[in-house]
Amino acid sequence: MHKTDKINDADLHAYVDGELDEQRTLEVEIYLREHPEKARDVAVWQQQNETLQALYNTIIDEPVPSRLDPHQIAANNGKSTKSKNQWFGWQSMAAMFALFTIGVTSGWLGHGAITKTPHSPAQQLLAAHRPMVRHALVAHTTYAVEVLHPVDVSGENEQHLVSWLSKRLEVSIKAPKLTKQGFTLVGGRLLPRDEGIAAQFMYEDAHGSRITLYVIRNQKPETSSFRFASYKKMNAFYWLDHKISYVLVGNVTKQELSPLAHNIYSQLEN
Amino acid sequence: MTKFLDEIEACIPALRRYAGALTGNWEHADDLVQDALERAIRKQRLWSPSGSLQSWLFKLQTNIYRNDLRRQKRRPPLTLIDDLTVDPSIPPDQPARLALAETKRALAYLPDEQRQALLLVALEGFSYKEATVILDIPQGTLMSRLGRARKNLRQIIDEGLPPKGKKHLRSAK
Repeated sequence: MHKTDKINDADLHAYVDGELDEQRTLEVEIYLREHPEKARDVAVWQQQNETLQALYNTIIDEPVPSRLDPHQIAANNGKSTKSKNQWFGWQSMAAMFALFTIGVTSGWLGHGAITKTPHSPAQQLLAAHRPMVRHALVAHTTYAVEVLHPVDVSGENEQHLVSWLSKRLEVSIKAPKLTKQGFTLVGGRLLPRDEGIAAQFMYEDAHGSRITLYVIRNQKPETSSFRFASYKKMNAFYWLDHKISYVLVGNVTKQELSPLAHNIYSQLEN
Repeated sequence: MTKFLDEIEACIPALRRYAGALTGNWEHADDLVQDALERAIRKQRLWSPSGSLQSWLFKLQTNIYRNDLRRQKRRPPLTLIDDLTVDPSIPPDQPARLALAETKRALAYLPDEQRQALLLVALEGFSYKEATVILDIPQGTLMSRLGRARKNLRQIIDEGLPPKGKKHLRSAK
């Protein structure tokens, strides 16, 4: 009499989650040996559990911010001291881009070191950049698909374009040359922002694939390392370079976009 | 009172982890945890010391999360933006890192109820019984959500993002 005949998916989940007693565990293991397809399911689920833990366990050893100190909250009679929660106020577009994370740096598994540091200066910096990256992505989505009017001023009038945008942004900007990388300048446009103005340069390769470089003047001089963000099929690199911030956006892979970003950075440096 | 607070304090790292995985954003996660802690401290009388304090806190936090979603009327399209410092010395295509990023992205696409069930069991290690108490659902419902969560997670990772995700961007005004 084989009890393994009665094993169903619920048993398999329970097996993965350590819910079964010794006897039932044994029966499931025999069953899995006889059913390789189910064994693959189980292996995938176990992998999912491990991946979820690898993703989020880092927070466990992080210092807890003082606003979460229950003694402090109790001293305050359980009343909130935090500033208004942004979560509810965001419009749909903002909410779409709300889920930023920082510090998922290279080598988390193979190298063991994870550098997620909530509330670190880096994260504060990121929070400050969020609107810029969001705006650049939105602008890319809006204009990169545009067939008739992708730009205000065509790349054929590059000199006029650059001097016009420089004048409006009140800082000297340049349109990087990407011809060696296969991208020609389609042109550029002005974009309204909440505070001030942004410029967008658009480039196109021989296959019609477009990338945009979003440019704003910094309120105060600031520099940063390269940062990467992605949304759906768009990838973006952004960086702050003294007086100007740049966001390079494209519907191309990160691997394709990265050398372009580095190239632009080196061209615009000075 | 102090003992109660100390016991709450011991649960905070796990509450933060669950909230982080649930919302996909560490700042929002801490907002959620703070709301839960404040409510727990205000409603201390409602906690019966016979039960598990941790389950009770998770339950409070889950309810606040659900109410937050309801108050927004529409669930925010959960989409991740991974921000990472580019380190040219590491090859960009490490499979392990990709698996992480993809899982995170796929998790964000799961329906909330499936995500909650999966995270409580797979990430927080709650027993099925504890998870049914926290989510206030029967065990059959839990199992069905867990099963669908794992199936969807796998499918999203194997086949890419579900096509309905695209609508969010286009329909945004």
